Amino acid sequence: MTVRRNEASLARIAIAGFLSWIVPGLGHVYVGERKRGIVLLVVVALTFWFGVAIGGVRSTVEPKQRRAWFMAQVCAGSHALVALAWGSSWPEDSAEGIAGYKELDVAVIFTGVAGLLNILIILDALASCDPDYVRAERKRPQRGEEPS
Amino acid sequence: MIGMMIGSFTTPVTLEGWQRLLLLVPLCLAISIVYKTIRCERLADVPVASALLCVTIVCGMCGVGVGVWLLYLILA
Repeated sequence: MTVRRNEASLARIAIAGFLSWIVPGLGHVYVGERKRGIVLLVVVALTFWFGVAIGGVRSTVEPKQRRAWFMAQVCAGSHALVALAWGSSWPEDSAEGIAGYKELDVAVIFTGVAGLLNILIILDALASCDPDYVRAERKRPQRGEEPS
Repeated sequence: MIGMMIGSFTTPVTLEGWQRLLLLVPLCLAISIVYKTIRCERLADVPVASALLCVTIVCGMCGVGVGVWLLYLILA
């Protein structure tokens, strides 16, 4: 009985983690925190695609030139995969849609930070599978706050 | 309409120096909202808490920038 329950919760954790990676915020929706999940989904999507709008889809998500940043971008899941597929559809010899280095810096930072934020979101979705732990953690006073 | 939307993602924008600095604000805002959405027990607390955190990060970074600039002036 206990083993079956553990297997169920392990599957729940794995599904929450995967959903959270593929669509940031969806893991929270899966574990029942619908409003929190929607807020996270909107904020990460806006941050990522704002970055892509600055640098252009062709040069922002680029695995060959900026490998470390690409690893961070991939943490944003489907957003990065869509941008990568879209950016790869350009012919290599075309100069169209290539951003200057100043714009590219900002674009890569926005998209990379969106991916890194999604790591936090994935970890929180995993922890949310145990509601008692999350409730206790959110009630814990933060730095600078008086304990209630 | 759809063509315009797609075009805004395919054509890179041109940014001046001060515009790049200004983009620090939406970036800090996104970080603050995600952090506070995860941390706050009640979602109603998120707007105020994330605005405060965003202001703290931006002021802190401006402070560090001014400090490093002053250090540069002293050492130069």
